[in-house]
Amino acid sequence: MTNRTTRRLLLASALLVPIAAACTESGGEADVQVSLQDDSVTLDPDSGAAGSLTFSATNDGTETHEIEVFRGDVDPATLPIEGNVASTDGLELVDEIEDITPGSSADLTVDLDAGTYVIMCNLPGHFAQGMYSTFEVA
Amino acid sequence: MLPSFVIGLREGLEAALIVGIIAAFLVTRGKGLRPIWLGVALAIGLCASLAVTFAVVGSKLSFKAQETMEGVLALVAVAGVTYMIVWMRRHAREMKGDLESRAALAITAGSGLALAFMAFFAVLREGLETAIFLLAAFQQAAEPLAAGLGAVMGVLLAVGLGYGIYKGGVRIDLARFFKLTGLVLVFVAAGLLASAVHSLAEAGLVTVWQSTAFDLSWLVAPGSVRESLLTGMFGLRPSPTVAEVLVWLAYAIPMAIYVWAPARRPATERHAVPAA
Repeated sequence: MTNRTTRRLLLASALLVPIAAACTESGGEADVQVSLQDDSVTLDPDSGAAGSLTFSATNDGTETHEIEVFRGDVDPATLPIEGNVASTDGLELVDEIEDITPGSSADLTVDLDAGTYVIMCNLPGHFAQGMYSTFEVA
Repeated sequence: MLPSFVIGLREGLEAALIVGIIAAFLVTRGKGLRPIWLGVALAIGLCASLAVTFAVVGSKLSFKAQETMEGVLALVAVAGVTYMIVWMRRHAREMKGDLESRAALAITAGSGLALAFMAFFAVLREGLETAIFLLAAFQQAAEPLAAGLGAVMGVLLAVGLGYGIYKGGVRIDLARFFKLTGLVLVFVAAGLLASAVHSLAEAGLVTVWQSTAFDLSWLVAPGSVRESLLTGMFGLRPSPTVAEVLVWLAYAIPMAIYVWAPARRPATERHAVPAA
């Protein structure tokens, strides 16, 4: 029984190690560094060229966050708050990564046309605390 | 550790409940569990290999494709769970625990296969996201071991709860089991329907009634264990849209009444005159 468990654990780690290695290698090509904090979203840089863009989001806050990329030329500060989340009527959700735990990072690669985009975390209460930012694509 | 634990629990719970109930159902019907394990193993294998492939290749399904897939799989699971509720409702009354009725109620090979497919779809739906999340948890920069173990323990607790339902279900007779689990199944299915609507809305396929209906985050704080239990069992997100609430109610209310309404005996049986 113990032998079997050990063998399974060894097999599991043998599977996980190369995957971890493969991902660290591909992680270095981020176009935009995104810092998610409990009360802000900071983009560096906050603009880019149309085409494929990789957002590397790091949760620098204390709670679990998400990163959502919306297409739409609006000032996010004017979005109405309904039931503790921002109303995104009229915005198109391009892509998202949910469940980014504190201290962890996630890469989100999206194809963006020229225009204005809103990057936010829309978990209840988080948007109202200031977790949004805009990104310009030329 | 807690954040990833909560996510693991939430992702695993729904599938574990459905599989646990199906397993108890099959065993009380005198059927083997092999088709269920086959369905579960196939789904886990498929999800794990897809997640590993995506991680190695460095790509993933397009956002819309993944949301559409999750929405459609949720609808398939709703159909399966509904079928099961109706089957249990119809037969619960006949089941009194004696061997004769047990034999009379033996399910056909066809419905056994249907239940195996249901286990497959139940696991497949959340499985891909969970597998991707588990991989990511083990790779994260800060404390990879704590985060990874937290996520694994969350999934294990969900599996443990599913196993508890199974053990409980095997021990008591079908009529009582059904009264207890029928309602859980109704809520699970209503939640699945709401998450189908959520996924299809994120894919851009559902566009009506997308304003937020109400805010429950005071009750189910995002990121808490309570949230993962409620979201996993009832499909209640802290801030559901109007469309999600409407389909949830439209399914849950009539189905809950259907499950709990007293079983009607056929008129002939009730008024049968003993003078033959």
